[in-house]
Amino acid sequence: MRLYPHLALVKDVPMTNPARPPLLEVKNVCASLGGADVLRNVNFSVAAGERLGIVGESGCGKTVMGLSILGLASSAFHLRGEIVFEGRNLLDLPAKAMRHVRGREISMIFQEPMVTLDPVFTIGEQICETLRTHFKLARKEAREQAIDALAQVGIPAPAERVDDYPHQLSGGMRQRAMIAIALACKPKLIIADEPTTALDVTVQAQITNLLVELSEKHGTALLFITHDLGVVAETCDRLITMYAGQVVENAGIDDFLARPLHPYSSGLLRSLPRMSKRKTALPSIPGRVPTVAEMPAGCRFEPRCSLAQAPCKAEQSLLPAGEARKVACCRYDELMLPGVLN
Amino acid sequence: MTALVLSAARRPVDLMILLDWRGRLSAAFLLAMILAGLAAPLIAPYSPTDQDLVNMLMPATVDHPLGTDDLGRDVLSRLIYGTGASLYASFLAVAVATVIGVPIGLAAGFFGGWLDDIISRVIDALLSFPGIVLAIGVTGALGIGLTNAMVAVGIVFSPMVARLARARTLIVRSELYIDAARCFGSSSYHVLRRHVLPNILQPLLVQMTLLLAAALLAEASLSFLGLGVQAPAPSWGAMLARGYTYMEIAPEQMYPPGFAILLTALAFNVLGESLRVVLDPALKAR
Amino acid sequence: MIAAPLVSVDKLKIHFPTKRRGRTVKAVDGVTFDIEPSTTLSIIGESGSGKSTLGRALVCLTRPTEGTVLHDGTDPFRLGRSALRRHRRDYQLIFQDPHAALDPRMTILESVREPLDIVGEIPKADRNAQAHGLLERVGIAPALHERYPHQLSGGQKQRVNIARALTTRPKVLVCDEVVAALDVSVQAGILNLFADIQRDFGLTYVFITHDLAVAAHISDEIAVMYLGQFVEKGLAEAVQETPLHPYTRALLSAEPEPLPSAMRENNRIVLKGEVPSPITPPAACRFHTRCPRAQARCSKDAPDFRQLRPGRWVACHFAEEMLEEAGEKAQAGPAERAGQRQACE
Repeated sequence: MRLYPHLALVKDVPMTNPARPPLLEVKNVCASLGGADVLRNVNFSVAAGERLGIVGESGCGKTVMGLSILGLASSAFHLRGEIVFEGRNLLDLPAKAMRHVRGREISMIFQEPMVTLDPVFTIGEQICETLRTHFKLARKEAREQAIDALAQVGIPAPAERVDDYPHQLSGGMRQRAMIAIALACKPKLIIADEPTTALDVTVQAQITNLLVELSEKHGTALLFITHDLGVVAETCDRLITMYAGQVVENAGIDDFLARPLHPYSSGLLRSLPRMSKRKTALPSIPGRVPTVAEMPAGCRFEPRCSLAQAPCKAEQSLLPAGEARKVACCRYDELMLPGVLN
Repeated sequence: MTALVLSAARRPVDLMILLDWRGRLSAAFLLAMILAGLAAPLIAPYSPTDQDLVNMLMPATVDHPLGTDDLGRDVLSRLIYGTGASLYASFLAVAVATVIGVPIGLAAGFFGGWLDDIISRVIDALLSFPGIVLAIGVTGALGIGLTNAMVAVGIVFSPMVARLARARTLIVRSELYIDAARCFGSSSYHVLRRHVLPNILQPLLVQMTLLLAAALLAEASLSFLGLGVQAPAPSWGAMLARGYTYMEIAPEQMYPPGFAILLTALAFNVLGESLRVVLDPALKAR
Repeated sequence: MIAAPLVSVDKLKIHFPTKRRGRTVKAVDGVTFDIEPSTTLSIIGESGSGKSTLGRALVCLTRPTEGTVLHDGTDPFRLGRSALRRHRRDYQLIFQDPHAALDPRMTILESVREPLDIVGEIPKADRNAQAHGLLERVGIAPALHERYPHQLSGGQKQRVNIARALTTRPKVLVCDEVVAALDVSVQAGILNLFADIQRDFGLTYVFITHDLAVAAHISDEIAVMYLGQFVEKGLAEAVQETPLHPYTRALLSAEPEPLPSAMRENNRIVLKGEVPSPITPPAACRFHTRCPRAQARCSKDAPDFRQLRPGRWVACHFAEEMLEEAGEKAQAGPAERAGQRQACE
């Protein structure tokens, strides 16, 4: 049995304030595609102003989850469960009411800004369009607010850039413009799907800093979807790990990094190449993520898990594991899994 | 399944198994046509040149299931005998177009530079001519007759093949696996034969089946103008041309050759589409 | 033991013409370095730094505009055509996109066998046996050998690419962002494989990557590239612990680290702006437009890429200052670690 003396170092941050009602609550959401579950009983919540990371490898369902919240997932996915945003179930909301939520209360930032921005309109026109859809604004007012939004995201000379077309901006500036559009209506929640993956490291640092700064300034909640644990560690308060369409762990970021409770989380953390482990073999997770057609009946990670035992053949549900922490592994309390520190 | 696809490239029988039902139906139809053309003396009820001037331009009867033409010859027999000439004509034209077009297109696309500039200009110039006029001109130079006419059609078609081959080669040339092949010491010839050609073949094959259908129609046009098959030998195009003369008094004369051309062209097109799916390892059903 | 450098790059420049006449993309613009046998050199840079072009030049896929790339003392571009083809087999490149690098119409066995087919010296049965052996060596089960690339996962395809590169028994393997397209758990397996085959085959690696963690994990030496030029080069640990170029510092600081908040550095250096265009790079020191340390002289004269300590090269006017700031730790660093590394080997 190993002790974790470094845990004392970790700041004691309250994960979720019980008094604060959740802004977004995802309850038992399932998404099926041709009879197979792409998402299975996904449960999590985001409090107002909280920054939650969703991490997982490709094919774990994190993007479908993000798109489902805004009702943007392909209609081929059959969605069940509830996505409650400020007391309303978004899955039941009529299309017209949903349009009001989209952009005004929840907005989204995508990975590739060049694809997401319309090449035939200027940045300013695209911000104004969002603003004028949701507020009664004169053209001039909207333009002023657009310039203001561009200034907020740190675009130099916003009064000139407002008339630029997307192709005239660099990659980092385009992503800033995307954030400006997302922030224009001062939404309560921003969903960011891999917003920095296409960017260089130095620019990525600028954008993550900007997102954190803006979220703190306006109290905007952030749902940050990424495969990069480093980016999550630097931007989020809490994270959920997804594997094969299920949430396997939900924890505060520091707890998670120091002592992950799910074998998959631990596997992910240990497989990261690090300076301190130079030239040693990296522990990798054998096998690959099951496709929709070959989902195991029980714990979906069980076929790849080196710690699996007989009870793991059964389906695992998300168990509470201490304060504000949940894990979908029946062996979590007997295992002492290594995190990033050892 | 995989082994089947592998051997399909070498054994046409396996290819038949892999085709979908449309492709199989088309292949069976075309095979039947080829056999009919070869076995014409055995299955045709009459000689294609026997005249019966008493029974001219007759509608269908029990003795003549498709009627008789303007010289009282049995239309069914002429249709069967004409199959050989028509299919020979279209295959010859496409073979000529491929043999000329593919190497030119490959060279232009793969080596680029001034070679590509010259070839592309020539292709553009040839394509801007009306095809049939060019074919008439070339036939004039080569001499009248089915073979010469279809060589002419092949020459006229070759810029289309060359242009497609060039465009595909340009795409394939920039693929990473070409760089990889150069890295382990492949010569240009090896890269062209082993990587470029197989990867441009699939759209070319589809284009070829389309051209087979077009060549069938070109044969009809040239025979119609008297440049192709010479009377009294039958071909579908020549029959259509003759039938056209009597359009007002015996319109049914045009149906048998017309439908034969239509169905065969359709079969070539459908077969081409099915082949496209089968020959692409990524597209075929998993 | 002083071995001759396996690869020696001297004042290498690679410029590409642009559509507008007279303007060129200066992808690689004056790079000089050597690679010792059986070591791993990582070349780190952001997009537009010219690192991939440099990698292609190392395996003779791109012809230098100026300067030379010597392989074992010979200039491959001076060889005849067929001699160059034979020579190339010793210098293999593995690409970022494992799918695009495999011919979609060949089974993976055919792909791996192809380099042997080209030589054609040995009977087909032996070629097949060798290809099967290498595929199994990289962890591809025999059941998969007759499959087509689209039927394999990304990680498996990258393993096939590695097996194919090994069939020619190369001396040098240039790996261009080979794990960038892979998930972390798969990436770990591939990195382990690279380490294993380096031991088994005595390979020399050039790892081209934007990922500092990957570079730090696998390499003996790290070179940092910015706008077509090296700004710093040295032993991996020395560069990581005491970076002597402001750009290296910024890169290290910007790298997001999965560490609890209490252990993370709070005062990270965030650079202004983005990498300028390689068509019109800034005059003098190319980094001065974004450099937090820049002073008047940085926009006037270009710093030399000079050797500060044995094996430690930096191109910054203030490198000596930074070395002093870093103190004794850095001074003891490189030499001591060089000793350690040799002891390990």
